[in-house]
This record gives sequence, structure tokens and C-alpha cells, in this order.
Amino acid sequence: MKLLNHIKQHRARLDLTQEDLANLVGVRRQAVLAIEKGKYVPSALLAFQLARALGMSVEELFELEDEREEE
Amino acid sequence: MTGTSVRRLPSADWFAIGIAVAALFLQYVFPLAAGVVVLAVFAPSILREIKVLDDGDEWTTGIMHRAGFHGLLAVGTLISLNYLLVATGWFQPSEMNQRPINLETLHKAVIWVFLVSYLIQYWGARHGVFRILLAVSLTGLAPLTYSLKHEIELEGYFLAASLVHLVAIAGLAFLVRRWPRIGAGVMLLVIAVFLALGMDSVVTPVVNEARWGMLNVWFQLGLVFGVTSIAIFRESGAKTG
Repeated sequence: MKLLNHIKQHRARLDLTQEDLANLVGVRRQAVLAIEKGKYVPSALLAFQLARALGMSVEELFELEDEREEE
Repeated sequence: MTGTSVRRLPSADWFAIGIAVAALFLQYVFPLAAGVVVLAVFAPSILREIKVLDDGDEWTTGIMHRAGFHGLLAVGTLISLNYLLVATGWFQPSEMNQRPINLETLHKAVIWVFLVSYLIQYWGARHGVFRILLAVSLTGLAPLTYSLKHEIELEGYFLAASLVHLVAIAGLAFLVRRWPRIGAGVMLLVIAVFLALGMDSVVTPVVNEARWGMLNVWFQLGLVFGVTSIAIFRESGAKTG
């Protein structure tokens, strides 16, 4: 089971670079890159921080792969 | 900026790697430099762990811990192999080596596995392996500093070995960049051949210092090739799977 995310789309919507988002949540740009590519699953704390920075809820930003299949 | 996949190592890591490489070349001139290599490799992680260095985040901490775990697995496997070779009577002690796997070997195993694992996780398998192999190809020149220090002319065989090391591994690096899985397959094949040749030297008494030194080089190359080829196959498996 994989954790999918929509960070890239919402970041683009707000015209934020990976660096901007990284600065907003206090991580390195490489961490945002790894999360966006699905290579790193963030902690609950970082997931909430990312969601808050992008002005949305965690459930809107992340979803489990099987949830998408059910839809 | 968006969508770029360039990953820069923290500057503390670059600084430490610079010191490690310099010490690697200088160890033939100043034996103390060998210890500096180890310190330089682990210093950023130690400083991060005791919170003196605060340049990372949970992702950097995660890959650092994972690299440490991989180093531990490598050392644990080698210690088990050590007991196995001695207990089964396959290994016959000699003046040069009382045990098939000594402290120096474990020391090299943990440094290489930790460093390679850390860099690959940071850069990604394909870019990481390419850069690591290029760097490893340059280490073929390191023993030349010994000849400069002692002002001796190297034997043709030794020079040829350094040149082959440089060219062959650099070639492998470019092969991995172009065709990662083929490159990884070649590395596994090289390990298999060296293992077949090297095992004979491990289980029989080694009295020749040059032969022991060559085994040492093979062992380190085997470690690098093993870890990097596993990383390539894992990444390509994750993409296709």
C-alpha cells in the first residue's frame, strides 16, 4: 500500500517552488522533492505542516493508493 | 526550479568528504591519515546525532539512520561469515592473517557501506552510483602518493593495475548512467568472478603481502559494487513493480 500525495499540484497552484515550501515547513528542499516523488513518507507532524502551508487538510493532500482504486 | 531532481548534499557532508578524500590520498604518506578518513565519514552524522550540527530535517535524519543500519548489517554478516569459515575449518590461519575477516576489514566494510548507502539514498540510485563509481575510479591513483613520498619508481604491473582500475571503473560508471540494469549486472558478475578467485586466497594461508593487499582491494570493490548494484535493481524494481 502506497501513500499518494498532491503536493506538486497544490504547490504549483499557489506558485510555490520546492524551496519556498521547504522554507515554510522548515525542511530541506530535498525532503520536499523526496516526498513529492513518493520516495519518502513524511511523519504525521510534517504532513500536517505541509497541509497547513498549502491551505488544506491532510486528507486532501495525501491519500492511500487503495482509496483511489475504490473510487 | 519546479520538478528538478538535482539534490545537493549538505555543505557539512561535502566538507567532510573533501577531508576524507584528501586523507585517503595522504594515508600512504602519513599513516595517521587513515584514521582521519573514518572520522571524516562519520563526523557529520555524529554531530547531527548529538545536535551540535543542525542542518538537516527528518528526511536527512532518516537516511542517516538507514545508512547506519546498512553498515551494521554488513558488519554483522561479515562477523557471522568469520565464525562460519573458522568453525567449519575452511580457513587455515597464517602469519599474515589469523582470521579470515579482521578488524581492518570490518572497519572498511562499515565505512564503505555507510557512505555509499547514504549517498545513494540522497542522490537516488542512478545518479548516486554514477558519481560514486567515478570517485572510486580515482582512488586507483591513491597508492601513487606512496611512490611520491618514497621517491621510488613503481613497477609496471602496479602502474598498469592503477590505470586499469581508473579506466575500467570509470567505464562502468558511464555504463550504469546509460543502462543502469546492465551496469548493475556487470558489477554482480565481477563480484562473482572475484569471489571465486578470492575465496581460494581466503581459505588457504596467505603469506604474500602483495596478494593480501590485492584481496583487500577486491573486498572493498566488492562491497561498493554489491551495495550499488542492489540499489540499482531495487530502484528499477520499484519503478516497474
